[in-house]
Amino acid sequence: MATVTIRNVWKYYGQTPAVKDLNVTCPDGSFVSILGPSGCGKSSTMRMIAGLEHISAGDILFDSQRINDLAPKDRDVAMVFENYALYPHKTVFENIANPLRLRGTSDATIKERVTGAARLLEIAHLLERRPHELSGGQKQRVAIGRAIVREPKLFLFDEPIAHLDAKLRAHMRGEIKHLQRNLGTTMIYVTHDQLEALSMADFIAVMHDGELQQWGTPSEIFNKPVNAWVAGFVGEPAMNFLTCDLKRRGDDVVLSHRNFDIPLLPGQVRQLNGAAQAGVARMGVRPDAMTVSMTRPSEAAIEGEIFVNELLGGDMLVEVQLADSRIRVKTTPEFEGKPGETCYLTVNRDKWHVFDAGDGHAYF
Amino acid sequence: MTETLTGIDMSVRTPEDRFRARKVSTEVEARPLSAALPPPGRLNPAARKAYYFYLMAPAIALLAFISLYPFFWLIVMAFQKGDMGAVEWVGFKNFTDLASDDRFLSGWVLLFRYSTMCLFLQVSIGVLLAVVVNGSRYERFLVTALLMPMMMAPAVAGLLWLFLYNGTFGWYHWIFHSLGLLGSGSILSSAKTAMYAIVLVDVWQWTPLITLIALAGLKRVPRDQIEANMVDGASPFRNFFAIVLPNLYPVLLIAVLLRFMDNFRFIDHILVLTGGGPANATKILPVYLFEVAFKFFDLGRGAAIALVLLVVTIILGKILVGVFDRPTAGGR
Repeated sequence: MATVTIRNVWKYYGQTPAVKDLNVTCPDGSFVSILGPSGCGKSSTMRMIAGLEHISAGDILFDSQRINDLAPKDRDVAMVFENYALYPHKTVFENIANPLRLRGTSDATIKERVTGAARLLEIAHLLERRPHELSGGQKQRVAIGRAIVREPKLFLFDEPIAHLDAKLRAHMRGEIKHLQRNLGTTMIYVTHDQLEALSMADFIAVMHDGELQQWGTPSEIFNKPVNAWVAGFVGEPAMNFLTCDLKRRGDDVVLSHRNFDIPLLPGQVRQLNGAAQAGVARMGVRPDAMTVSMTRPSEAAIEGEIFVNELLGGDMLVEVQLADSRIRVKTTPEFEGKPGETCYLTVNRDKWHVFDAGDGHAYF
Repeated sequence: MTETLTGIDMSVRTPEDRFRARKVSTEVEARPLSAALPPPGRLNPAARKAYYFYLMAPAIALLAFISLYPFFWLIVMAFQKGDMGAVEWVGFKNFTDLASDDRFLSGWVLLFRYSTMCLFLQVSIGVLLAVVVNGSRYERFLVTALLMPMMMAPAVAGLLWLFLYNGTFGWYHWIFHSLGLLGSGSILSSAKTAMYAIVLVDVWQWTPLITLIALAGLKRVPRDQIEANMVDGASPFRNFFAIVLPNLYPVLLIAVLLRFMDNFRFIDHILVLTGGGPANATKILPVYLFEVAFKFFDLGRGAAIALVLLVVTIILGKILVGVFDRPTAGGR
């Protein structure tokens, strides 16, 4: 159990920076997810914490101890690898026992701990098998077993369930979260799947191009993205973006587009802070922050033409063609519009976002 | 492209790679296979099987001429007595005589001593060198430099070392003599040191082969297993024995097999350096075989020795494959 502090950390591969001035503090016992697309520096960050990668600049601390110069074996972390990295020539039992064996634990304790871990992960019947005789999900459990068999300061999970099929992945999400809660050990979990991060983590660190974009709870990340990139990366189906003009009309500020003119809420005008009261901005609306109807509900509704309907089981996704772009809106399967017909969109203004057209930071 | 397609998960490391691999395979799946390929069987008519035999016939004939014929003739010779002229059948006498031949028996002992020393030194030094060279900044240069002894004809290497060991002007002679490790004689003329001298030459010339093979093996040791073991708490030293070495077994098997069989066959060094002396101290079995067959021209006896040597080589090879195969059986 430890608080992990990453302070001004840089990682260079040759001349290319992979992680740029990263500052993150993972509270003791928390489940922290590092989220980002491939090449964003999240795996490099994890490998620096594990000691598998040299830290180019900055410090990493476990509690108050600087661990930059410690060998991996002295850092007391346990890691689960993306490809499981099981030892093919050892049985499942010996795979799980490996960290204990390397620390010279007595045979009796090893047997007790390994069987305990195996029972917890429901792989007790597989202990005599070898890795090549296991399915993907079983291999993954063995890899987790190897991590939890001793009590490390920190768990590092590097996309551990990326290779499982969708159903098993959903199942393992719950299991891993439950396991972490029970053990109470700090966990850093790297993933490129925003759903995994949102559903499991206490805190999410969103990374892009080696830079930390946003740190926050899943709901903060989802509801209050700090910039257009985070807003677009998190959430499925993805947020709609429309380039609009900001116009002053009396006391109001209006978001103006070829298809609509919608005034901002009074509080939101204040949040603009005078910065972009006139000029170009990007509006961002999640598909579930809008409603679609076949009759005009109000003057402020956006008129468009249905491009295509996608039924997603319990939901229906309607793609609507506006003058210069398409936006997607979530509705119920009972929606009766047909492609080619005219429909009307109503935006929930409490849940929309306006981003700077230049650097993309969020006004609200 | 084929590599990405058939590549196992191990080779797919980053998420981008995975994406790429998936993309490539989708393209291939999308190709209209059934339309593009002729119906199965049309290219492979059973009626024309003889055709394949005709195609292979020249190769088979050549093989029979240069390899099979001498082999069968060797078996025939092993049951005959006589030199170039008169020949008589003697049954198993050539073989039974070997049992009471001291030189034959000591030849075996010397051969095993020689081969064991060579293998032990070559494998341990070879693997050590491979580990040192692997990932070094000067890897390419070092590999080229290491390969040089291997490129030399064995007889030439033997001559080179003959000069180095020479009792009048040999460099090694001078060093060992200065260090007081040598008595009054020269290295090759002392029964105590001659064997070590020829082992050293073999090690010098053939360790690079082991290094090369081990280096290729090291390249495919899965990095994530090494890293997992490091995080589990292993020191680099334990890591080597727990992960790297087991993964090297299959390639080391090939290396050991090659070298052990070569040790049973190649006598160029020994013929050049000592010719089996002094006082038969380096007369390992193949040297004795050479002597019997081509110096004394006792061809029947020579053929019998050769057959025994061949059978033992095959049996030992089989055992070796069995021993090495076990730890990784079904491992991948």
